[in-house]
Amino acid sequence: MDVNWIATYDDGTKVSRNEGGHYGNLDRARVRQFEIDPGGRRGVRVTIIPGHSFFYRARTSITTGQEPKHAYLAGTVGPDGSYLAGFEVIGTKKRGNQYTNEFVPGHPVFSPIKPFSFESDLESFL
Amino acid sequence: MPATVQIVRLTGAGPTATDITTTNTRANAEDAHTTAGTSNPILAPASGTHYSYWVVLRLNATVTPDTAINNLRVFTDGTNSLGTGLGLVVARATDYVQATGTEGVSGTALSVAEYADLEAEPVDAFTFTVADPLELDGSLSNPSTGQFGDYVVFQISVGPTASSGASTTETLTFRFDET
Repeated sequence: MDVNWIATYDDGTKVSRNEGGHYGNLDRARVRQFEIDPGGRRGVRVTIIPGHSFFYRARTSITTGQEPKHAYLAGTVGPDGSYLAGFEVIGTKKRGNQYTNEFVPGHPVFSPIKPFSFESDLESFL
Repeated sequence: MPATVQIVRLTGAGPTATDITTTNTRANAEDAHTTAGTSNPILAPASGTHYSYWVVLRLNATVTPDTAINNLRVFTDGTNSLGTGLGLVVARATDYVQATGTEGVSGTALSVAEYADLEAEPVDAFTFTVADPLELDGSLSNPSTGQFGDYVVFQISVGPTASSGASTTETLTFRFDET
């Protein structure tokens, strides 16, 4: 299952993975909406208010001898708390969208992330 | 295009990396990957403990990620189903050390003294579960490919109460985040 993401800037401009966008090259301070689009099925979308940070992850679990499992997660974090949205994909089947307001250790979608170097804006909130 | 990541087992002096992502690997008393080999089993001891040669695993990307990979974890199902008298320990390491021992009898017991690049003494692998996985250091950034992250070193122990024959298969799960 190939999954696209779409980031929307404060001026309405959109950048997407399918059109050559790179998550690490986004102007993070200007992103106001981030959407994960699984194509033909309802995805998830988060809105980023000024002063908050956002993140995206494709999470893969590989168990020896089994088909890899994938989970896709987008979220916002900030001084007013967190909002996370995501879904699992097992094989070619997408499971329902899920939402939470905090990271959940051990959860296939919502277990904690580690910021990349280009996500230094996240560090004060995680 | 997202990364393509394998689990590889490292054996030999080279070492040789064998993709075990969609198959199994046996922990025998030999430094070799095999899915069903029976030529060098671990000899059940009359007393004390015998060991498999240690099994060194690592992640390997054959296709680079869009941006990067981090947050590496490994875990078991939390239940030792190997059988009576059998155990499994794990430790992470910063480099590869070839397994040693006496073929067909026992591997050298895994320890920091024998495997200097271990980051700590090995512990029961079944303490690491999806809820509390073993955290691995390391990451991979575009455009790099190849092996990345800590080495994960496992070893099976065999006590005198163990039955002969192949043990029950255990599964291991590696997890990572990608952007």
